[in-house]
Amino acid sequence: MKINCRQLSIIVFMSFISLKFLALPSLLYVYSGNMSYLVALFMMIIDGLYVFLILDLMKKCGQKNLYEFMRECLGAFLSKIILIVLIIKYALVAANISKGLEFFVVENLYTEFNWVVFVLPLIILVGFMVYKGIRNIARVSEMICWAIVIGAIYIGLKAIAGVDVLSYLPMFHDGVLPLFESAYVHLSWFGSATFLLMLFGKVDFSKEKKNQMVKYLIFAILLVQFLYFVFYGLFEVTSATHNYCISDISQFTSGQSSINELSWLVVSLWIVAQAVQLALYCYCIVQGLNMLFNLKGNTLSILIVLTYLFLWSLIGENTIGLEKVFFTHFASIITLVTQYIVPFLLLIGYSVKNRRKKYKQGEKLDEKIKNTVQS
Amino acid sequence: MKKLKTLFSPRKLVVWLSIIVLIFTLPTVNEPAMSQTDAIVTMLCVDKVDDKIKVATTVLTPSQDKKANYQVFSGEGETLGSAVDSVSLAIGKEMGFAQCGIMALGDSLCDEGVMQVLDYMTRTKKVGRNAILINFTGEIIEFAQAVSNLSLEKSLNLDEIINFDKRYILSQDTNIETFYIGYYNNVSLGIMPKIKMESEEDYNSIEVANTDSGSNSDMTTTGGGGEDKKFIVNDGTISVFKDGKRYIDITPDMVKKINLFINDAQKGSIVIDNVSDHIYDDAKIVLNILKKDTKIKPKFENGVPVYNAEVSLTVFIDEIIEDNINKKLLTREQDFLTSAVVGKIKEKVQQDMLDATSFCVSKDVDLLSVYKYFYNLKNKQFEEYLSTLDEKNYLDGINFNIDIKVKSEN
Amino acid sequence: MYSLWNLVSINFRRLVKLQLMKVDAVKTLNEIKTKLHESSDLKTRTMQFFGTQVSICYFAPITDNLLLNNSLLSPMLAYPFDSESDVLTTLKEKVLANQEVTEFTDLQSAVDKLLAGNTLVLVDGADEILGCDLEKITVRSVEEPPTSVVIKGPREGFNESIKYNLALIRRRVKSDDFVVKMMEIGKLTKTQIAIVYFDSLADKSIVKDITKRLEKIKIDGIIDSHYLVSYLQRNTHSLFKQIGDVEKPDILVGKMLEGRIGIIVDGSPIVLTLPFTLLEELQNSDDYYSQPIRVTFVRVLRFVGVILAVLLPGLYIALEKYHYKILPTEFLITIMNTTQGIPFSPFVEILFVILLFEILYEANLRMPQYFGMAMSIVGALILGETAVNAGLVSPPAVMIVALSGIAFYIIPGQAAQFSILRLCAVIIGACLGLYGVLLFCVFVVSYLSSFDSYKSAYLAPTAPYIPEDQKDTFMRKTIKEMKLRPKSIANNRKHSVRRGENED
Repeated sequence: MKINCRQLSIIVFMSFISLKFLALPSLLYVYSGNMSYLVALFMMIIDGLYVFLILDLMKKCGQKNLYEFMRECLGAFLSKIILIVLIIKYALVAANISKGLEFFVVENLYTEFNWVVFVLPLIILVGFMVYKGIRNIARVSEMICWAIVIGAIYIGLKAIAGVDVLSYLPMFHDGVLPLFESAYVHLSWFGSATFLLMLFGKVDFSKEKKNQMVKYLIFAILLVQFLYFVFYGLFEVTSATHNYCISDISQFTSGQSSINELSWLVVSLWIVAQAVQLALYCYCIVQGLNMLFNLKGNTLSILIVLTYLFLWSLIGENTIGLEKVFFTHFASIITLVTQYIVPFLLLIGYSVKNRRKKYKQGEKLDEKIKNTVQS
Repeated sequence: MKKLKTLFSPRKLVVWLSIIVLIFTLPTVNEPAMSQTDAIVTMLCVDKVDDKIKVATTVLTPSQDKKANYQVFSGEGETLGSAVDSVSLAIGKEMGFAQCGIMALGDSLCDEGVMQVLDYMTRTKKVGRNAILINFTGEIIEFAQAVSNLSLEKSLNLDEIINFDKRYILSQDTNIETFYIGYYNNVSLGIMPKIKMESEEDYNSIEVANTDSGSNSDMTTTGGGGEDKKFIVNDGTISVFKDGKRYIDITPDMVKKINLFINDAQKGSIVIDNVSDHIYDDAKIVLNILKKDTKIKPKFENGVPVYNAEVSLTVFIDEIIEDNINKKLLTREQDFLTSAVVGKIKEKVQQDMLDATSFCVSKDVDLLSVYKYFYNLKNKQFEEYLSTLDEKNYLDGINFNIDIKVKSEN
Repeated sequence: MYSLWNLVSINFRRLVKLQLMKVDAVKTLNEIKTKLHESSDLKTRTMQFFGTQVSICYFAPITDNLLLNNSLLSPMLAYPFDSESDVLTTLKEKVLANQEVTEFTDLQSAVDKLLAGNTLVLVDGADEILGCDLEKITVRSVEEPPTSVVIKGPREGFNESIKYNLALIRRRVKSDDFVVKMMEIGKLTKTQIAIVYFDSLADKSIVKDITKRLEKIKIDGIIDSHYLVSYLQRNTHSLFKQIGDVEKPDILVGKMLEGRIGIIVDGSPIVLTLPFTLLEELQNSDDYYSQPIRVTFVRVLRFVGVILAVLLPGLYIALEKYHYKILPTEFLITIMNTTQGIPFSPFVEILFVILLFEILYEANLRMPQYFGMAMSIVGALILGETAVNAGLVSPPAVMIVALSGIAFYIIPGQAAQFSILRLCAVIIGACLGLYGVLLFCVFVVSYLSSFDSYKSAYLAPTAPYIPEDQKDTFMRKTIKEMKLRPKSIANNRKHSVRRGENED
């Protein structure tokens, strides 16, 4: 079951925006202050470029899956190691989304809450979507994408009157170093193109439209920048204390009660977006496990992933220390490898393989010519 | 193994997990609504009396008619948490602060510092950061009761009054979030409207019955028109907080003057005296400000910071108070905004704005956002300037330049 | 009636093996009588024609007496004697010249036709039995179907006769491209089924697939077209409808023009259409006869109606029970004041009102019309009002369930499915709150996205998004602007343009 280019663009778009509007803006502010939006801009542009690099590799690999492609380019041993690192990366992102979702739901919707029970419906949904495959995830993304975009724009426009433009000045007061530090520490929130590696051989490029992906990526970057502009301009120095960008903006603009009018609907939509993202990364883990252990059916790997999700809900009650270890430092290194090194390795491996092939073809041709000349 | 596989087939797994979810959650199905089990607090008043924290809340209770019904509950304790708990014990319900739209803080608490209270209420009790902050003077339970009666008897809400004030008097939001932003800024300044409790009747006062202030964890009831009648007085006074503590109170007159620097303050009026020319004869004129555009341009001239304020006013003549009104006033072709009037307006506005600056400088309160403008727009020069000050008030060395333009309604 | 069919079926087995060599009219007639267990409604007549014995047999209830007299008996009696001519040929070519005549060489086929309404003519010494179609068709007149009422537009609806239904379609389609493939299903009922489609527009592989599936059906009888549904749909246990049904020829032709295939069943006024997408339920035949802007508004309204119908009670419970903090204070005051003193929890309260409405609906549906009207008023007004006054349920609960109940019938075709979904949403809302309801919505969307109906995605053209098909989705453009056939339906891509290339 393959997805088309438009669906791929929408999945990439969703993956570019969905993790950006929860805890990330406040986390970035701690390191890079009022210039945090530039960190997001910089990292998203890099991620965008990597999308095209991976897409190019995808087209080159044809019908093969990632492991088959890697084995040809880099050999079986290195491929297995890369697969393991990739699975760790996906597992970390999935855990990050699951934790984010838990806190988001607790903070915004419930006063008394038992996540261990409440995670079960999420597990059912994720399990179902993963079982049905990438086409199902793509179709659901297509269905909800427009609502999420309209919701985010609505929230932003509603709050824009309260934005103090002066709060963006002075620019680069502490230099550019904090921006890079911030980018590195929160690398796991970026690297939105990594999941594409698991879609090798699952995209139908036959009806690819020119610049479609570029348009979606530019729109994703603009949307994130717009909401970051509103967020930092609205909360100024207190930005670091607002853990949930989208819900806090809506809460602040909604008048007397906590969340008012249609804002809660928009906030709710974000839960949906996170659930779909979780399904996407769980799908990537399942694919990774299938390739790594050469599994035929999905059932076992899905069970493993769902158990992993459930375990996270158990151990994640007190995540103050855990978050730092799993979602910042360690995850940053993993993201650095998976998102920014692996695609290059693949590209180099592919070019070397191609050259060898051409060289061999050339040798054969030379022999043929020699033979014909001799004869 | 085969049986196990069929038992855990994906389709069956969905069914199994759904059953588990239902088993865990079905017992909660028959529970009553949380809006009935929680005490929904709409206003929280906190004050410090004799080293104890005193809390009074107005709680939403159901009524037979379609109107809202509020009841006041109070309690006290060593800490804010214990005071809130004592109220909770008295009601026999969990306190739900999500609908809490107003946080009123007493004078003595404001003098000691409000940040701990705000932090506890927003972080632990989840009071929305858009709740309006008020500084009140008077007895805490009387205040809570007065606000409650305001809604019950007069169908007026304090938050609506404050929001209306925002357009006419304060020209700034006074909720927890903006207070936080002010507190965490370099100048650490915040403002709150001040609501007084007076025994005398005032122009915008609301009648309220005096109540018996209860002891620990008691419920106060309306006295019903006793002899000591008290009123809420909202005269436009503002309390200014520095480092989270009440610093000074500003009179409504000074607030109006300060508002001339603030772009958000669009409404207002100007009164000029002794206007005499071909139309007016020693007239007193009240002008309504229809539109105001204030542009602040900070700059440095020879190392001296200059705060340039360009104010462009569009006014409309509201009232003309004159003994014998000139007949020319009847002819509509005349331009009533004569050069004499414009000159007087400029003179008056200039004077008001200079009064505001000198007040801010003398009291060392940066209500004109001087620091913000210079720090954000002229950062390097301003930091150099600050480094030369030592302990001195940075407002002292700033030159204020005021330029005024007046336009008529047309 | 059924015992007769049983008898017929037992005797068929014997008849199958019998091959006719030369007809002995009386003997064969007796044989048929025996095989049909001397059925009382089987009428026989024996007469001489050109000196040869000719026997006629037919089932009286399904044979048109007048036609029998005028077309067969009277001409036979009046025909001048001619010893030279062959009896069978004369009967076939001259006497029954204006009737549909079939020749049978095996007795089983002849009896089959006899049961289907044909009159058998047995000529002594002939090597064939003649069957002539003198069937008496007793059907309803062509009426407007109650579920597809239009304000402006054709009012003809299908009835229970496959012949009439085909006639209604043929009257609209004068093309050699229109194909009707007949088949018989049902061991006992031998119901006639017609697969209808445009040869150049329908996807051949789907036609093949449908034919194959229908041919495979082993069943005693097909009473209605819905008997075929479970054989045709892929997800047999799915709650959702996967096969379209139409009751009007204009809608069927419209669907066939988009490349769909229709299945007509004799005895049923409902014609099945394939492939089916959920969007079809949002569309109404009225839409194509009204102004596009109005249609766009109505379609959005239908969509909102569906969401309200399914989710409103669940959301109300979730908000009341768990999330009062996200309600505006004024709204909360209203809810608190109205739910004060209600003895039930929000879940039980809503469930009670839902059950009340469902019972009323069911009772109302099956009651005589004159009584039903009175009952609906009593049910809705008096029961609801007294329940509120008695303090058993709150006014918002009644209002919300009533609104949701009415909204179902914006899309009557899916009302049954949606009522089940609503119940699920209510249970989930009560158990898990808004978070649960949201996940439930994603689950439903994901589930619907996961299945295809005959090469067409169920949620197309929304998921997958097909830009070209948006002209007739929520928004409807003019007929002139809809130049292409929908891509969301599997049809013959070679003929995707609706009109000639030279037209603008």
